[in-house]
Amino acid sequence: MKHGAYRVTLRYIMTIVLVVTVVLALNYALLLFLTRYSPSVKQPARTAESIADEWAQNGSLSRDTMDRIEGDDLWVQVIGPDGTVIYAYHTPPDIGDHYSLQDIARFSRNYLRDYPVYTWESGDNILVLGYPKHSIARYHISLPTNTVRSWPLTILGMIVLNVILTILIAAVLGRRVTRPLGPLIDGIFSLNREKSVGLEEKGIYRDLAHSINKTAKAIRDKNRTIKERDAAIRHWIAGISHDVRTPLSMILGYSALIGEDNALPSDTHSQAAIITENAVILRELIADLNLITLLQQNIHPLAKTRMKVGPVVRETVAGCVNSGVLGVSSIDVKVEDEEAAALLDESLFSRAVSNLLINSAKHNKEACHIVVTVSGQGTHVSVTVADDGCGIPGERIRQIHEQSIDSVDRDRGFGLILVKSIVEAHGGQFDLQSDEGKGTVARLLVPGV
Amino acid sequence: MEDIQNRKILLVDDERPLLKMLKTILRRDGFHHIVTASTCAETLARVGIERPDIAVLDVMLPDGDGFSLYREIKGRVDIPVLFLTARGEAEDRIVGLGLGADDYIVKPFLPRELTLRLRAVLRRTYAAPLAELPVFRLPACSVDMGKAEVSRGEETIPLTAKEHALLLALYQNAGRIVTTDALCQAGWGDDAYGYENTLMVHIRRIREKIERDPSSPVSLVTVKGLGYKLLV
Repeated sequence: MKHGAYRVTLRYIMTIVLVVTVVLALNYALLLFLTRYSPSVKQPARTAESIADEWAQNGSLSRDTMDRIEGDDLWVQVIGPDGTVIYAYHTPPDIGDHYSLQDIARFSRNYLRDYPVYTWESGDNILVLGYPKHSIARYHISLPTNTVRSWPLTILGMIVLNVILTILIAAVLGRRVTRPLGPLIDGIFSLNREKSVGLEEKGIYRDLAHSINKTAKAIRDKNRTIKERDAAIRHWIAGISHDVRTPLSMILGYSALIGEDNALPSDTHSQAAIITENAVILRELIADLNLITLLQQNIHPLAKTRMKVGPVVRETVAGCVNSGVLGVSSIDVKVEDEEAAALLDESLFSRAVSNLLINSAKHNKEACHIVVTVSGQGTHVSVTVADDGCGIPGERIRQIHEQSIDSVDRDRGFGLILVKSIVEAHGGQFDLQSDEGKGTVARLLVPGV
Repeated sequence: MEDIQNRKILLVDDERPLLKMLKTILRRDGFHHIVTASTCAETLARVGIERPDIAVLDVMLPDGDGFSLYREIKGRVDIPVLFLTARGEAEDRIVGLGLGADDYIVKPFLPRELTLRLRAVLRRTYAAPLAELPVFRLPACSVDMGKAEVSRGEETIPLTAKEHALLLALYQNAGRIVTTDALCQAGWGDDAYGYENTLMVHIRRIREKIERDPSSPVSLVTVKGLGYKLLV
């Protein structure tokens, strides 16, 4: 997946650009702060100007100014037009009292005997403000006029250049980090699609590649085992149900013949009836087991057509009532939405509903009342079968939901597990709620059309 | 009935004990012309010599499957075939054959299931094509479905075509619930939804003709939420 590696690189570049921008911005802000607002900032030109103005006006300095000069360890001289010092305050001893034109030209740019000095006009005179030695570094910057004039454009150009440079460096570095990631990302995508993965185990991601290879192999092995086991179960069940049908036919056939033989005593008849009854139970169990296996493994093809659910349910209930399997139970059918339709395999869906009805009737020895309701639930159609009988133990409900067929109930058989398999094969849900002693509500939810 | 029991049956299965049992079951049920075969080749030979009226075929045979055998039999003689099959295994294929007079039964089966199916197929195939429609008695009247008439004492009331169709559907399932959907289907054909109210009108008219007191019916009763039931 080139796409994956590309995304990682892009994120990497964006992160680098962001980091560089943030660091630069912080630096600039700090610089501004230090040069403008720091308490240690000296503003020599401004100080020189104010002292020069004061002297020009008054011919002397105020007490305040003198205190400030002394406090900051500065010194002041006023040089007359002829180069002679006409006023001095707090001057160090190594400073003279007369300057030539060359002296003035020299120190106005740099230092006077290593003292950083600033000059300002004060009337016809020149004021010199001296700072302590080594307290200020003086630089003179000369720039071409055109550069200064196009200052904003120059700054913008430099920013763009910086950004491009950062992206390029980040891209090169990013490639170095993500290039070995490419195959790893491909490998993980292959894992997702259960394809075989053979990554080269070298470089900085060696351990990771090794781990992905191992995982891929483990997944493949597990899938193969599951498939083999499923096939084995399928063949086993199909084989059993096939091999069992002839012996069962014999048992059913002869037990019925014995039962109907009028020459035999009535005891023998009732014993034969018990054999028949149990052989029928066995037949249903095997048929259900076979069907459940086929449904759960998506082998049984569903003949689904669009059907209105109400009529199917009515037909099923009528069939159950007509055949007498509901015994003494009473039943009510409520179709709230006649138009509710779904894609159904009619015979299977009908079997699911009748299994629920039979389940309600069979496990409530006392007569119970069953209410079947068909209603639309948004995009789904629901069929609920509710009874007011004795309920189903919670443990049994859990088994049904887990579809564990290892503990078959002698009475209930696979009935409810089959219902769940049928509903799920229709892309629906089966929900079973029961209060022991109060009754059971079973709900089938299938996607409507 | 006599006629049906005189029909010759060809039983085909590779399991000899099962074949023997099938023979016993059918004998017990009154059939006495029974021949058996265990392979496809033997079956075709028997069909040629014995000229059976119906064949009962196992789907799995040692030298071929029941479906190709079915086609070969049908190519030679026009007799109905009843398949014996394991559930799920071949039901779809059997249905796919578009069986007309034929049927199938899932192994293992009860003897009664087999004999009922066999008789039904034989009746369908060999009974007089225009079976007479029944005449039946109800507490308040007698109904002649052939003439589409209800007789109450001296009075004779005709049934309309719709009433006849509905009553026939109810009579054929006498004692059993027939859903409103099935009745609408019988009266108005496919996708008959929306005829419920019309159906109620027709049921009321039928009751007026066949019930002593149409407002408290005893023969044509309503089963709430499901449909109607005819008690004969």
